[in-house]
Amino acid sequence: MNCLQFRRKLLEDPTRQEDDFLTHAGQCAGCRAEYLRCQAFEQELLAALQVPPPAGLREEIIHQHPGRAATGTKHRRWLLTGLAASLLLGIGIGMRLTVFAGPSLQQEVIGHIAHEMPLLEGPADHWVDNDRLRRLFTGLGGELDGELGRVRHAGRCHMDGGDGLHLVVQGERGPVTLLLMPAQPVDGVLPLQAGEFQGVIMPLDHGSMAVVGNNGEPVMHLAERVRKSVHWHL
Amino acid sequence: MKPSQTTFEELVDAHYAELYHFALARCGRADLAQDLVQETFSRAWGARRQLQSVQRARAWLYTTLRREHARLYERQRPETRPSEQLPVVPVSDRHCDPDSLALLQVLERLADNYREPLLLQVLGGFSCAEISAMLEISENTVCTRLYRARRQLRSALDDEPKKVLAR
Repeated sequence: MNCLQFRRKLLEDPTRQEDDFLTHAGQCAGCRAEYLRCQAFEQELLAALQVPPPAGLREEIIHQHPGRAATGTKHRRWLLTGLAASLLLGIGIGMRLTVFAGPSLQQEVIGHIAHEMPLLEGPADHWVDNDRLRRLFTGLGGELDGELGRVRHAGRCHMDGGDGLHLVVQGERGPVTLLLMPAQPVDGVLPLQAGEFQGVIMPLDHGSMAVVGNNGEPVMHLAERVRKSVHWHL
Repeated sequence: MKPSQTTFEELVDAHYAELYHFALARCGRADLAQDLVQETFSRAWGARRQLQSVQRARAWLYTTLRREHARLYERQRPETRPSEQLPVVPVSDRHCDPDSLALLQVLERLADNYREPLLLQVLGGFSCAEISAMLEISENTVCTRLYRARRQLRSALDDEPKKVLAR
């Protein structure tokens, strides 16, 4: 390896460990000096970029996922698995008996909730602040103009129609899942009943939303509040 | 083996800070960087069964954050702040020194296709081959971009330190 090759390789990746590269650094004083200068520069660059994360970021990430309580009993896990299964079975029966909606969106909503079942587990011990909620809406081309209540989880999610928001708010009878799907239009209000869960899929000014809670939960009240508070600028 | 929450927490502990550094360097705003990291881990939670290998998880997290960042720009071009205002969160004294600031300013002026592989290498410690797979470009192209990125950075800092600081 000559000096030109060495210096090119040095700027490509100063951490490389190939024998011929390190041998050249050991034998050529000029390139060794350049090597040391480059290492110092890399350290300076790394130090400049390592801005401490905001206090509480780690906790916010962890608390977004209440499934951390899954360190609990196996019984609880089985209960959740059974619940997810009954949810899917319930909607299957519902579709045979009624013609509320085409199966795909309902199935997708239920499947999505079942997949994220840990979000509904355990007591909430952390609430998502309004600033973060508003940023999430803005990031999707929307606007939140009002309060949604106590939100225990908020994050972007992906469904077949495109990106959406997955929120879990505290309802009167437990956690209520809110799926906002700006890329998924529906023609009208679609009731949804599955096992111990009930809900509704309804149109918004862009796309639709699903609101699903425990039986007896007044989901229409929440749905109406969301409909008035959420605006899309797509 | 079923993934446990401990695994997810370990994943967060191991990577949230470096992902925040990467996100902040990409978008230039602390609030957006925070959201990008949270979104990335939200997706990691959904995909946690695939993320048993630590090394695989790391590349997956960086790739996901890059995609989230790209999505952000597909929808809107967020207002970015000049590096004089970086960082917008409490920082250690180190970040207030003029050399670090000058370095960040020059870095910000690099073309994105030079800056991104450089950040992946400096912050993520990825090799040219790994970056090549993440960016879906040839390894030779990655090497060339890294070479030019460092040459431009050093040249700007060597030749124009006062001009850089005066921006």
